[in-house]
Amino acid sequence: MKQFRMITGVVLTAFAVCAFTGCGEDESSGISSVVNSSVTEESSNVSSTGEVSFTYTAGGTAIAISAESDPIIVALGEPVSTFEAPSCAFEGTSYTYTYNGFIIETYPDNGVNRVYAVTLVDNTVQTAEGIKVGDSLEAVHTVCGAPDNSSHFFDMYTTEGAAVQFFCQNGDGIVTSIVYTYH
Amino acid sequence: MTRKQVILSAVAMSTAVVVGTAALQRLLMPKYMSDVVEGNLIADYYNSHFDHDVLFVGDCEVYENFSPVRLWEDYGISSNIRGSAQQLIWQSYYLLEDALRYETPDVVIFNVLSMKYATPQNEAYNRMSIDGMRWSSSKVNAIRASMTEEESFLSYVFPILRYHSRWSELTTDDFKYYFGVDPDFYAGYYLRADVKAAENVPEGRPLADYSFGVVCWEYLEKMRQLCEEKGIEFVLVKAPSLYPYWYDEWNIQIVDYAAEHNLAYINFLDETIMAETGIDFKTDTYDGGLHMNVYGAEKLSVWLGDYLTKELSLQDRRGEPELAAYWAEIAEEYGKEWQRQLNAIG
Repeated sequence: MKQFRMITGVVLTAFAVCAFTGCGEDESSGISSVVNSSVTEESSNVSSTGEVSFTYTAGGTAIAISAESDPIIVALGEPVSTFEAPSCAFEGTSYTYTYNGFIIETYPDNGVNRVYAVTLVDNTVQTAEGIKVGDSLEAVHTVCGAPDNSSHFFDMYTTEGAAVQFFCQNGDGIVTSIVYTYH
Repeated sequence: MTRKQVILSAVAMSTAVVVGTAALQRLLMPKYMSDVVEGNLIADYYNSHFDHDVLFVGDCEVYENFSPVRLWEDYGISSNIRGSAQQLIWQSYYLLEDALRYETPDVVIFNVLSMKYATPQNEAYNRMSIDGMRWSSSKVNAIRASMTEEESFLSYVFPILRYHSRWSELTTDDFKYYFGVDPDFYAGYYLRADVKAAENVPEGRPLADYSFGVVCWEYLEKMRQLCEEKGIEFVLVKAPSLYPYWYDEWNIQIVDYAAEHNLAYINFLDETIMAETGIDFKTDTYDGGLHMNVYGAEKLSVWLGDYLTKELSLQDRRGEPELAAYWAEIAEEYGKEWQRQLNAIG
C-alpha cells in the first residue's frame, strides 16, 4: 500500500510538472498577436554620434519609431490617403498613411498600432537637422557626422531600436528619400 | 497489496492520466472553425486522396490566389494547395517533404514571397503551419527550424503546455468540434467571393539591404534538389499581390536563380502576364489588392492551367472515373460555398 501511494504520488507529480511547465513563461491567453513582440520600446532621440535625431517631427507632432501611432495620426489630422493591409488570418491591420511630403507606416502590436517607418519623399519637409530630399550626402555628413553604415546608395545612422537612412537611389550622391525605421 | 497489484495499479493510473491529459488537450487546442479558419489548412491535406498532378506550397499568396477546382474543371489537372498563413520557406520545405511521403506529383509550385523572411517570425503562425502536420521527421525538423526564442519543442509534442491557458476562452466551437473539424477549404483553397478594389496601394519604401537570407537560399535549394531527386518539375511563382511590395531588386534575384537552375519562374506581377490573366484590381481582390478573391483566383488558374498543359504537358485526367467523382464532390461544395457567400454579401 505504501508503495502504491508512492508510485501514485510520483505519477501525479510528473503529470503536474508536465502540464504546468511554462505557466510562468506564457501568461497570454489564446493566440498571440502577429507582430514580433520585441518591437515595443520607443527609440532614443540621439544617435551614437550625438548628431542625428531618430524622431521625425511634423507640425509639432513627434513621430517616434515604435510609438503608439493612433494618437499621432489624430494629432496630424486627416492624411491625403490611407492604405490598409489586414494581417494574414489574425486581427490587426498595418496602415500606410500618406501626408504631404511624408508617409507613415504602422504595424499592429497586441491590439496597439505602432509606428514602423516614416519616409520623407520630397523637399517640402525636412529632418530635425534641416536635411531635405535633394540635399547632398556631403551635406548630410557635415550635419550628422559619419554614418554608422553606408553603401553606394545610402547612409544609415543607427541607435537602439531605430535608424535613419538617407537614400541616393540614383547613385549620384543626392538624397532621394529619407527613412526613419525600426532597427 | 502484492507487487503485481502495485504494478497493475500504477499502469492503470498512468494510463488514466495519459488518456485524461489527451482528452483535456483536445478540448483546449484551438479548433479554427470560426475566426481564424486558416489554422486547419495544413491538417486538411491529409483528407485528400493523395493523387495530385500539382502541389502548391507557400503562404496566403497560394491558398487564396489559385483555384484547384478551376484547374480541374478546365484542364483536368488534379492539384492541392499545401499552404498556410505566413508559411516560412523552411516550413514549405518540410511540408513538401511530408507530402512527398504520400505522393509524387508531376509539378510543385512555390510562391517566392517567403524568401523575404529569414528568421522565425511569430509563434501563432508557426502553430498554424506545424500543429496540423502528422508526426514525422519532417515535423520534428520543421519545429526545430521554426521555434522563436519563447517557444519550446516540448510544447509541440504536448500542445497542452501551450494551450492550457485557453481554458478561460473556451467557446461552443471547442465542444462542437471536439471530435473533429469540418473546414471549408477546397483542395487547400480558401474561397472569398467578396470584392474590395485596390486603391492607394503604396510603393515600397527603399531598403538598406535587398539580399535574401542565406537560410532562405538554402531551403529554396533544398526544395529544388528534393524535386529533382523525385523527378518533379519545380516551378517558382510570384502571385499578383500588390502588398507586401515585391521589389525589382528581389525579383531579379529569383530570375537569376531560376535561370541558373533552368527553372520556370512565373511572376504574375509582370505586366505582360498580368494582361494575359486579365486580372482587374477593381474586381478581382477582396482586400484591396493583397489577395485575389475567387474571380481573381479563377483567372490566374485558367492562365496557369494553360501553361501547365502546354509547357509542362500535364494530361487531362477528366476521363478517370474515380478522380472525376472525387473532384465533382469538391466542385459541388465549392459552388455551394461561393453561392452562400454571395447570398451573405447580398
